[in-house]
Amino acid sequence: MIRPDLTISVPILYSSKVQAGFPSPAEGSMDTKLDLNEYLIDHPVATFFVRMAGDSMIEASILENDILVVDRSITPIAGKIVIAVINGEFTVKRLKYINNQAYLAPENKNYTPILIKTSSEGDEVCIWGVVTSVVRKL
Amino acid sequence: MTIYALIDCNNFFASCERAFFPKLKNCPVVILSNNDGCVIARSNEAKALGIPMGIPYFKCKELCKAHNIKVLSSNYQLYGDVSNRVMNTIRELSSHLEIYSIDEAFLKA
Repeated sequence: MIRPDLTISVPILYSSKVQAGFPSPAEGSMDTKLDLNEYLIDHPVATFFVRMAGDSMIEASILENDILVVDRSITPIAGKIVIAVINGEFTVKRLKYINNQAYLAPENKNYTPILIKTSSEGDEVCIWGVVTSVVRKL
Repeated sequence: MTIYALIDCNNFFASCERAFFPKLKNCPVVILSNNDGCVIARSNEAKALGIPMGIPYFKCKELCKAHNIKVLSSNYQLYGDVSNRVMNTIRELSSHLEIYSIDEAFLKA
């Protein structure tokens, strides 16, 4: 776990898109700095960073060692990428509903979706948080 | 009449550990003080097994072993971070917040 309140460097983002040619003369006084914490985190008290392990989400552009921004205050609805806990182990999957049944679906054709059973016979599953962003250095 | 609320987190250090290590969810957990000296937090399961608050660890080591209690060193960075999140959350309820300890606060309605 990485704490979101750690200070990170603040890069400068120009508020207009970069274009070839002569820039707008009014632009100079409007530049703002991009605060990545502010940009990526809507609910600081409920947001955590986790590091991705494994390749089960590569088709959703989530790669091994990516940092995931996880918001625990968001309701996990169908289609969201979530951090789930299955029998005490963390996993990253997409929450899907097929024929009224909930699945934790990988984004990798080599793996199969995990059915979330409603009865007590199955694995113990809970949704820990919703992934809202992916951070990766190139 | 002024009404005050006392907010006290349940088994705070053990609950913090459980939030990030879900494997600890259904088993008894105790947290030890600096240098693993004394028991300073217990999950409900550990309380039910008769581990008293503040007991030196060497005095309950056998009991912990016998009941397969998960024994953890304290991680104050984690508890401090979670504490800040708790206080910032309850601060939204009232502007009169008095933080009393890492897991306790008074709130004026």
